[in-house]
Amino acid sequence: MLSLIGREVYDHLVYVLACCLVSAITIGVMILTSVSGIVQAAYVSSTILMLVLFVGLCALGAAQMYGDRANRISALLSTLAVTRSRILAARVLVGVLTLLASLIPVLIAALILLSLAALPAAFYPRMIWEVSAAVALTGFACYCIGLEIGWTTSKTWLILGSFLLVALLASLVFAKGPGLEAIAILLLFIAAMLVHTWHKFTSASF
Amino acid sequence: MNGQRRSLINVVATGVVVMTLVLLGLFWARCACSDLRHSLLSGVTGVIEIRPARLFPWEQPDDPNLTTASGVRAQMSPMNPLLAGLGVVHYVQRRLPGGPYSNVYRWGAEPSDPWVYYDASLGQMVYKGTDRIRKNDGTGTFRYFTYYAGPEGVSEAPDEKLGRFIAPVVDPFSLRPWVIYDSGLRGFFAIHWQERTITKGPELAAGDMHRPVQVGLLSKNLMSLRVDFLPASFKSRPASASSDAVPGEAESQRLTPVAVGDICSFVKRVLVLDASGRIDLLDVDTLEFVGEAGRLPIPATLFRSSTAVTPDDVAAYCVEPIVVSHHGASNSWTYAGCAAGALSRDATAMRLELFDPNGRLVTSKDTKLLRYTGTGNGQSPPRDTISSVRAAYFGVPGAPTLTAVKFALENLHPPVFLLSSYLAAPSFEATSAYRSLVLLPESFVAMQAGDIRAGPIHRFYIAGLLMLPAIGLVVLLASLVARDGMKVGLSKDARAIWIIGTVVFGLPAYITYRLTRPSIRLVTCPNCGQARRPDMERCHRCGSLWIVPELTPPAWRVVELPERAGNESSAPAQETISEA
Amino acid sequence: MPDTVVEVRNLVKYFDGRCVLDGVSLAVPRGCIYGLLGRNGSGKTTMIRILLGLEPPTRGQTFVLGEDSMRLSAKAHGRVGYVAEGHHLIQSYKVRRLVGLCKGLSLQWNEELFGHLMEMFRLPMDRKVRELSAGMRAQLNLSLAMAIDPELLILDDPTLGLDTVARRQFLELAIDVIQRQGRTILFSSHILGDVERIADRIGVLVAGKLVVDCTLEQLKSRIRRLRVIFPRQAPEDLYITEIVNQQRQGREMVLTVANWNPQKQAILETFCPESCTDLPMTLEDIFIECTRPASALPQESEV
Repeated sequence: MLSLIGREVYDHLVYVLACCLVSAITIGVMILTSVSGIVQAAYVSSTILMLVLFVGLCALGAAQMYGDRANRISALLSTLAVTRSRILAARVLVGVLTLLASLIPVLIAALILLSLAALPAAFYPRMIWEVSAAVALTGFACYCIGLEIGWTTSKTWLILGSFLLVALLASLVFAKGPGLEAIAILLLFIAAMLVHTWHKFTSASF
Repeated sequence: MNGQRRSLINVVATGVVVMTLVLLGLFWARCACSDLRHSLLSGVTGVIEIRPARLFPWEQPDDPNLTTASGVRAQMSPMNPLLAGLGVVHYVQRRLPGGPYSNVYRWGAEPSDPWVYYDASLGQMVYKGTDRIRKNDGTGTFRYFTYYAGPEGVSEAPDEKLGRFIAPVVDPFSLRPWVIYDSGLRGFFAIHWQERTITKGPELAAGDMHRPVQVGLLSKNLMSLRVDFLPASFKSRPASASSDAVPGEAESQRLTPVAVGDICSFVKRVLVLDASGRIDLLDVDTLEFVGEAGRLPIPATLFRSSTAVTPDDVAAYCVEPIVVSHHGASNSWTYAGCAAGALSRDATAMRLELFDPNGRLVTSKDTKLLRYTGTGNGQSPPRDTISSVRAAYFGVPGAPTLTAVKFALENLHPPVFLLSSYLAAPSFEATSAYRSLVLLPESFVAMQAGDIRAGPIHRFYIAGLLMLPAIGLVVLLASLVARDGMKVGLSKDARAIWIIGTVVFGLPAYITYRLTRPSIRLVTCPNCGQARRPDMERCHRCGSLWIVPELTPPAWRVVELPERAGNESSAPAQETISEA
Repeated sequence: MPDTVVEVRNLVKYFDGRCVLDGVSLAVPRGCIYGLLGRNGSGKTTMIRILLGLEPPTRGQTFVLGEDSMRLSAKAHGRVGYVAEGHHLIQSYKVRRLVGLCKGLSLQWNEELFGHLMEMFRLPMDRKVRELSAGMRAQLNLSLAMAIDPELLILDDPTLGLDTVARRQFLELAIDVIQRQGRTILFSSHILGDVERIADRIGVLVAGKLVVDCTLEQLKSRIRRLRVIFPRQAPEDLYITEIVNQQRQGREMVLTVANWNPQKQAILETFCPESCTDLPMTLEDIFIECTRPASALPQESEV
């Protein structure tokens, strides 16, 4: 399993690093805006950067699957001592690790900045966790969209479809708000996407 | 996991994904439609004014001194008020100070700004502030203080003896005194922070009709709707004759989060909004109700909804109390009534009502569209007026098209969701349409559910007619599924399940079917000549066994059966070629 | 351990409405070298891919090492070495990286054997796979398949692209594998000389069916080519069943018959031939006769 994970990370290092870079930029923007006190700019820029991160995660998933199909990687791997489920699990694990590596630093930075603000009372203590969970799940859902849509031979559909579906899915948080309802829908959506991808991957011809 | 179970799981998973994406797409299409409709209307019907207000006896129409009588005005924001219901906006608003999910009622960026919040762990209200203290040498300094208030008292340190508030409803803007209604304790409290005392009102009886939901500044979605008092203007102030009959200037204090004054400090009264939509007056000293101040207005809707509206039934409301000062020996104020404005669920109609001090309706006005002949440039007299809600759906250019689009979008939803919307309509909060994916609070079907003009059977019948296109669509889709299912050899049970699923879930189910149907290229059965699936042993149409006519293998075989492999001397085994 | 290492039961495979395999059944016992033959497009590679779970069957079942091919466990995969037609290696990897990956994912790795093979084939470790020649890729593929010490070796045209020397080396390797007890080889090849050299059993796919499935000796003894000279014109219909091929020229007839037996001999003799000579056939001769298109043969009814 570690070999598979290592292979995935190495092959898609560019995407992993790009996501981490977006995360670093987000942290930088948060620090700058909190120091300068322009709160509105912090929200707007963070939102835009999160959207960029979502696109990056989708691109990671799409690259993993598209690259597999184009280079027939699983055709080789599945003749070795691994099952298709394990190959997919390693792939998804890399996506999860990338997501966590991108978002956890942002969350930590946000918590530190909030604690530095030293307010006498929090407006709504659970807000940061709800928003973080919604953002993380949206990011993962975008990654799952990439996995699903990457298993295609058409580059046009890959690019157009990715943007369209990521935009549509990211709009869920705007539509429902980053609360428990959106989190429940996202969890269900992610589970369904992963099951569908697993089914497609394990029954495909290599 | 066997193939059938895998297939079922795949179908369910695909269905969830398709349903989510389709509903999201339809949601934004509905929102765009609503936005366009609002933009068609807002320039036309965004303001209503009642002038003269006829609240004050000293404003006589024939008074030569009176330049302009007093009045009230309700103004709709050019921005779509339903946007306040959009999930992310709704989420943030409810969690910002003053929102129902926030425990913080007053806050500020500066260290000297007061903070007032509810500490759920203590069950007590906390007030952190500063006092300016003048020293003996004339200089000033700040004293930081923290007060804790519970139902039993106020102190400078948290104390269990102060008791616990359970579910406070707070007037976030008035601090002198600070009026709280606790729905858990069923009573009002007035906290006097400076004196560090608390006044406890009588506990409401179990059968009491009062169910306060808002205290003090009564408003919802204040960015979308404002009600203002328009004072009168006189050529010269009338001279005072006696202390008894002295006309005075009418003043109104608009309560805003930064307002210094409020009616509480002038007239020792505070407005309380009840869950039923009734507006009550509460005496701040005794914390008892002293009468009704009015009701939330009932804006017009396409289907007349109710004889009364609750706070959840309208997209926005704002209540502006009016107090009058009396110049004379005692500079006293009296409560003079209030103006209440409300915006309909779909933000197409606004109604403004004016109530006297006893809560009786004085006058009211609805938004209307003036229609002109010719080019409608306002030069010629108006041909007629129609209500703004009719204008929104049928009157203004582009409205009928938008209405048709809205109708079509609603009917693209699964019929089960339309039916659920009809049944659950009474429980929808007005702005929830802008964050609801599954149910449709603003649909024609849901509006029809609230139509009080008809009985329940007639309402359901009309709702059924409104759902006809959706029903027609699912019948068509189900027939396509049935035909295709037969073609690809789905079993009878599987076909039945798909047909039922398509009837219930409509378009998303059909899309799911198309994505998950067996993607097998059918071949022609040499027996019956119809298309059949090669992965089935027998033709699902005629039941014949499998023959591949295009392949012509030779008749002979040289096959050794494993158990006779060692028996070389016997006649060589010949495989009998039989049907599989 | 199961005696049957590879089992195929009534396998049917369609590609876009075109039938490739039409109810194929076979069993490869442990320790056997099974040569699977057939013309281009006969379904050999398809069957092998279905066996390895790379392709789903349309109908039927396949089993490898006792497990269903579509649900092969990682352990079963690890016990099978596979050399694919076209040598599906990750082209963008360097040889060293590919070797590291295969090593990391294998259940067991024979470093000594692998080193020996790499040395024998003189394969560069620092070059990318796509920069290797076709023959070198074949050698690399073979080395990777052998290094895991497989219980079952599946070779799909393994010598494609190999020069004569490399082909001979491969054959010697295969024999080396054979000599290890319990090892089984299933391979397909167009170089019938190699197949004849090492195979125990032969399977021939024609028109979606497995028309031959027996030992090599049995095949040679049961398919006979006879040159028969008749006193007058060679008869049009000999009333002999299972004629594989028949050529007539005047009084002479060259007849290839499957499952030659005394009954068929007796039938032939009723035509009073002047002479009947048994012509020897190599595996290649047999293969060509067996895979001749059906339209070239006289009409026969099915037995």
